[in-house]
Amino acid sequence: MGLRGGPGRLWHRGRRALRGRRAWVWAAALLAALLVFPLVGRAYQVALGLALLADVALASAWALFSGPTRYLSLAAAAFYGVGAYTTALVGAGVAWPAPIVAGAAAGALLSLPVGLLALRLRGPYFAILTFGLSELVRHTVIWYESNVTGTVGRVLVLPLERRTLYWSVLVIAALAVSSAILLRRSRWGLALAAIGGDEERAEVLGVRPVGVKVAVFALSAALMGATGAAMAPRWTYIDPQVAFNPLISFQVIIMALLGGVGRPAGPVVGALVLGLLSELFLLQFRYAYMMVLGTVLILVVLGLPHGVVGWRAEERTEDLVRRLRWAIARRIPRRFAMRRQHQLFIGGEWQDGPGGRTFPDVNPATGETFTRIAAADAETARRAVEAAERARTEWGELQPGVRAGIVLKAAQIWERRHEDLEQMLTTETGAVRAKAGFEVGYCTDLIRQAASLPYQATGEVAPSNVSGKINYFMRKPVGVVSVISPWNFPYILTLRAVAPALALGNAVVLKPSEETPLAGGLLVGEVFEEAGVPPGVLNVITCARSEVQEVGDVLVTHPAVGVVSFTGSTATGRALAEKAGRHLKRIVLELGGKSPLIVLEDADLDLAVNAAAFGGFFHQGQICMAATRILVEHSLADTFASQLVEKLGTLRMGDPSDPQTAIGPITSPTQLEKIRAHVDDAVAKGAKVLIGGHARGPYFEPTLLTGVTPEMRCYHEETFGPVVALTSVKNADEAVRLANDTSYGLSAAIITGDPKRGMALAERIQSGIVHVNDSTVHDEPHAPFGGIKGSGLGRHGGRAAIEAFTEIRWMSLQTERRHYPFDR
Amino acid sequence: MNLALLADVAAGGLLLGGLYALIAVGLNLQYGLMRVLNVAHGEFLMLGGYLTYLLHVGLGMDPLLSLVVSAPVIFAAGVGVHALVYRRLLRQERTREELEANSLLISFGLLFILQNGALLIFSADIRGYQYLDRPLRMLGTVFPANRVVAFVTAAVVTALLFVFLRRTLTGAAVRALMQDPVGARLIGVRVARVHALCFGLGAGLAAVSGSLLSMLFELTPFVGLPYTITALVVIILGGLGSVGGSLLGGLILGVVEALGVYFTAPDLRMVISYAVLALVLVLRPYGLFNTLAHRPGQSERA
Repeated sequence: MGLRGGPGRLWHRGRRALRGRRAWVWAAALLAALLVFPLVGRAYQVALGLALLADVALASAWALFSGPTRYLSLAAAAFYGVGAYTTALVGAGVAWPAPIVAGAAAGALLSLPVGLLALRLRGPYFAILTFGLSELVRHTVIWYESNVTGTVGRVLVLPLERRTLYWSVLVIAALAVSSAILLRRSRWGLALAAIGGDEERAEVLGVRPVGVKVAVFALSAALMGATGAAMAPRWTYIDPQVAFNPLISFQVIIMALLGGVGRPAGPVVGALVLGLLSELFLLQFRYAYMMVLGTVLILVVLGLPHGVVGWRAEERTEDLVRRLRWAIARRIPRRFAMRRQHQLFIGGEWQDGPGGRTFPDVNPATGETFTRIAAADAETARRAVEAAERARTEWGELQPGVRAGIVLKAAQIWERRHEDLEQMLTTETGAVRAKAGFEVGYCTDLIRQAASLPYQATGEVAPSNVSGKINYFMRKPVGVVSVISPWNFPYILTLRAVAPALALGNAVVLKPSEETPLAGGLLVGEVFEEAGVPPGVLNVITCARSEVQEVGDVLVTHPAVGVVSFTGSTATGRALAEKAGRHLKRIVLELGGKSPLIVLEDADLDLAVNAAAFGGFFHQGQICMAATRILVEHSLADTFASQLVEKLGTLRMGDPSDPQTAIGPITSPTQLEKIRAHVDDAVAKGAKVLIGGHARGPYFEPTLLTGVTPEMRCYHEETFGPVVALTSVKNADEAVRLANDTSYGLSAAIITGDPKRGMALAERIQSGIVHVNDSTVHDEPHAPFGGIKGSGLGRHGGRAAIEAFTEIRWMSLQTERRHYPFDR
Repeated sequence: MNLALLADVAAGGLLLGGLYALIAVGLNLQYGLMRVLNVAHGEFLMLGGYLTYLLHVGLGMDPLLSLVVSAPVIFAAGVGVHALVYRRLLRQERTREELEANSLLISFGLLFILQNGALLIFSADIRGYQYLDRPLRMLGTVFPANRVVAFVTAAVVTALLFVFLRRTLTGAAVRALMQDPVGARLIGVRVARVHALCFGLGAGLAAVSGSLLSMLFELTPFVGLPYTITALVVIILGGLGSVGGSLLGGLILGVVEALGVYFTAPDLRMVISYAVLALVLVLRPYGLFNTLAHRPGQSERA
């Protein structure tokens, strides 16, 4: 590759720096050209530029309102005309820019009656009424002029330079385009798009259509009025037939539609193309040109529904509901939203909690409650289990292909929604961008993998000791699966149980952690609902901390529940397992860990440091398989320690939505308190802090301790935070001994230059998972994931999921008459 | 207040209203069937008028007789337009609102093409001829004979249309399709064919009204749009999609307009026309008589 050094590398860097900012470079260049143009252009060219800019302003202003809402306004001529007339009336009396402001005001003022009257109607009615009102204005002006002043029209002489006009219109056009850009991503734009998609639904979801519509309609009219006012001084005689010509309305629509109203650039492109064509051909081939214009309009409507700009990136209408929901939940302010809380999903319906109770969902980075979640109680949980019980039979009997199809569809939806899913993870758990992106991407694969399971639930045909008997060992769904998921990797740890359980024909009741009711539960419910999972097959109940225990009890003890999948702390897991045992329920537990990372003296130091930094501090160490104990052979210990400290010093801590951030906030205040207690306890008992050790607001610094002894809490207990204990060991044997000196046994890692030796050591470590020459933190959808000792029971993932979520049944067929001892 | 004069004015309005009704019935047939609001309706009317003018002035054919030529020709043109444009549009799976909006845009395109085509061929000059321009004494007042003839012809054509819709199998198919597109499809109505027929019929009816109007008023390529607006007012008065409503709406508008102009000033005719349109849309957007389900603002699948 020729990019190693010299100019090639510079070029490469330059390109990288510009990538993504190219649009801005273009915009700046264009603006500069537009500003210089009237100084160097000839008079004719300046006049042409003026006309084109006016077209751009009008088309953008029209598309501002009519684009997203699909309200086809035919009143552009009225707003343009009223602006022009304003200049004719006040222009001579005041200084120049004032008539433009007056024209804008006149346009906005006229838009109020027009909007209030017409915006109650939809479709062609709205178009016709706006056309009618526009024509009414035109004819009233004509009638007024001819009756009151005696002549139609009036003389208008404003001694203005062409350049002044040009710059005025340039400012208006820039205003129109920039409002279109700003509107596109703003709450108002989303509300407008929602109105355009399905007004009634938007209203139900909490958009107030009248206010939004009238306001944006007025803004669009004001811009058109300003354009009219700024263009009027070109005429020496203002004729209402010309100023209010309905052709203006049509031309504006054709321009906007030709370019495409899906993006702000559409109307601009359309206006430039059509404006230039008009300028070139309109006067020369008047009627023929108009015929071509009509043909273009028809062809655009038939063949280019999204315009020239939208040619490649057609907006999918199904996305609209998603955007709308997203808008309601996140961007549209409270006063717009009637639905202020997220509901439970039971039996295919979204419903409030009992008594309308809710609990707050808090953004850990800001501490603000960003939404409220419906709170379920034990009775709700019972209803959810019963809904699942009703739905299970039909779902379990569906052909595997159908179930696989629905799960695959969920994977597609998941992939399509990745942006807002990532956003939610950052908001709800404080996950940094890299973690959110990783987790959401991983889940797409996870769901896809689950979609392969329906076909893998195979059984056996076995021989028999009885002649003529055929034994079938068949895999059948267990029925209802309860899933209780944690908050640290809400998507993965929820979906790895929910998706296979569903795919294998079970109905599921899901209870996410109270820290992540959306990411761990309701969003998953939304995705599978959209994918077409029948009502009752997936139920999501969320509850506040005070109800967790009683709700969890129902999910374990209800007679209809067949299997419980729990991921969380060892203490809770133990309690649930006791209950499950009493009720003879199968339970799959994935609990805490105290995973060791062993660095042998022949290790690649760079790899070891990176694996340790990632394993110990990714997602602030809030990972069950986090490498919380690093055991380094003593010859390497000092270098390793200094390099790891240096590495940790470079990790940026802060706003998780900033892509540069590596360390985000701790997800809950309780958790933060626990981490602090562990570190203080260790320090008090003689541990040495190599780096970090302090909480900063909701954050906790990446902390590296040495000298951690068995008396300290963080030696045995799971800290679940960015706290890692570094221990120097004499040799590999001691490393293994210390690694096994824990009640946990989830993951482990060994870094060594000798892979064979690594595998041999791996055999001796007591854990469910060992990775040689990698970090402790690693998972794949089809791998049997789980721990031994205090880290859990059973496995998730791949074939293990089939074991976990199906029941093996023995059925047999006797094909010839069998002789029983009682036979005579 | 002279009551007799008022009755005169009203009766004159009624005669013109008959023509309005004929224009509107055609437009409404198209809308009721396809949800296609054809703003170029008036252009078909204008073409019909020019055809009659050419036949009468060029070949000396009686204007009334020229209907036999102009109606089928424009009917064929309507069927052609349907095949070229609307069939494609209707084939796209869209929501009803989108369909209505798009068809509106397409008909604006048609309007541009037809109007400017006519301008190219006939130029913008005002054309006209004299036909039956003599007074006719009837029911105690005097009417211009051509208006009476036009009204009677319009009434006959409308009656024929009603007979067609009520008494023939094809007419039944049309009505079935208006009431329930899916049901009609299920019992075997060939939708595309009925659509083509009705679009042609609408255009043909416009041509008949154009021919009749050319006996009364002068022609320019611009006459189309005002009549389209008139027809829109009428069908909104009578209810979009209701053919009977248009008939009544046409007569009402004729009288209202005549009285309005009589009480104010002739140059306010367009203002009154648009004011009535706006008023009706604001107060009774789904028609004066229409109590049926179709109301604007509902979004449903087309």
